[in-house]
Amino acid sequence: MAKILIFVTSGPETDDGQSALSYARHALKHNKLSAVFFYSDAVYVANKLRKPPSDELNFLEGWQSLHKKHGVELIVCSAAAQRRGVLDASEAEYHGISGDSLAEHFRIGGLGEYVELQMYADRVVQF
Amino acid sequence: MHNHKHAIVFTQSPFATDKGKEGLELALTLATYEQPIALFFTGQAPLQLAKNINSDLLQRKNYTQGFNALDLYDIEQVYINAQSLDELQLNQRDLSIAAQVLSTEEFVAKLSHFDVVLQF
Amino acid sequence: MNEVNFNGQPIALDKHGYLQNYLDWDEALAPILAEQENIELTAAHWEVIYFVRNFYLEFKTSPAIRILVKAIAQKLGKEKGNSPYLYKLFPKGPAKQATKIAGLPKPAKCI
Repeated sequence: MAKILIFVTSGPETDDGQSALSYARHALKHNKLSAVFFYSDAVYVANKLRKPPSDELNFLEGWQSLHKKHGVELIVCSAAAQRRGVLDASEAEYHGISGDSLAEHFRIGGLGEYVELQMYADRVVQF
Repeated sequence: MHNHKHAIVFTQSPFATDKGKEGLELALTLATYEQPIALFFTGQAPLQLAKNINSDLLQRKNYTQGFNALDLYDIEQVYINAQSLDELQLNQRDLSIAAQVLSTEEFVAKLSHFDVVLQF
Repeated sequence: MNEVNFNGQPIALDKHGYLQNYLDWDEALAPILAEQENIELTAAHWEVIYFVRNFYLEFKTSPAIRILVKAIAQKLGKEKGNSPYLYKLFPKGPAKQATKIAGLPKPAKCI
């Protein structure tokens, strides 16, 4: 079983951003999914204040369930996320901002973590 | 453990989106950790390497100056699609760094030597 | 917002003492920023401060420590381009403290 790292750069409102989740679900059936790393506009999906209308797919919940059911690590690049207003509690405090916005089951990581993860993955797939 | 060879492929003009800035950031991080890496420029992206960009007039950070630091980061492989360069009416003298200009065919063939191809 | 008084003018700092605007920097401001770090500036400090400031102005990015060490070794020699030397000058990390005193933006902690 190949070990796959998914690297998402497309925003959640794009076709690629949405394909990433479908791909992740399929990858879990046949392969080992080591983690999903969110960079660039993809970090928007980790904003806990997202509230799509109920007749649209909720991608935030989709990703969260991958972590809850399968323990897939969901890592959000800190620099990309800070630019786009996605902060966890400790970062918000560090910057003196009241309130935080990182959704549950995601965590903030550095780009250095991507470098490390790809070393231990057989393949990196970008969306 | 794998020593994946990364190709970072730039496709956008410098200030239309943040892609170029974030692609460069990733490239410099990979190089800081001494990962093998090459940069590819196609489409509008050769504009990111154009000399004398003054983004102050746009009130934007001139991140493209970061490409001048590639030497220091030991990033030696930089490839440009000749057709894109032509379409933008640029030539090598207009670029801020030394790069290898390849025909579209060579450009695609070169890309196939890399294990991980990430597009920005 | 934090600020520091400089020549009768308030200069805006972020919560951690970095300049809000790197163009506000002035040589005479450096010792005030250094004092917050408990560093008394010597010629050796200045050499590194100028180096990181010029690095930023040239490349619009602050160098990671490994690159800083290498670039300093190339320009000022191996006896200065090494971590122990730079950490002696800037005990809490040269990439962090030297850039702060040089008035550069706080590096995104992505690395």
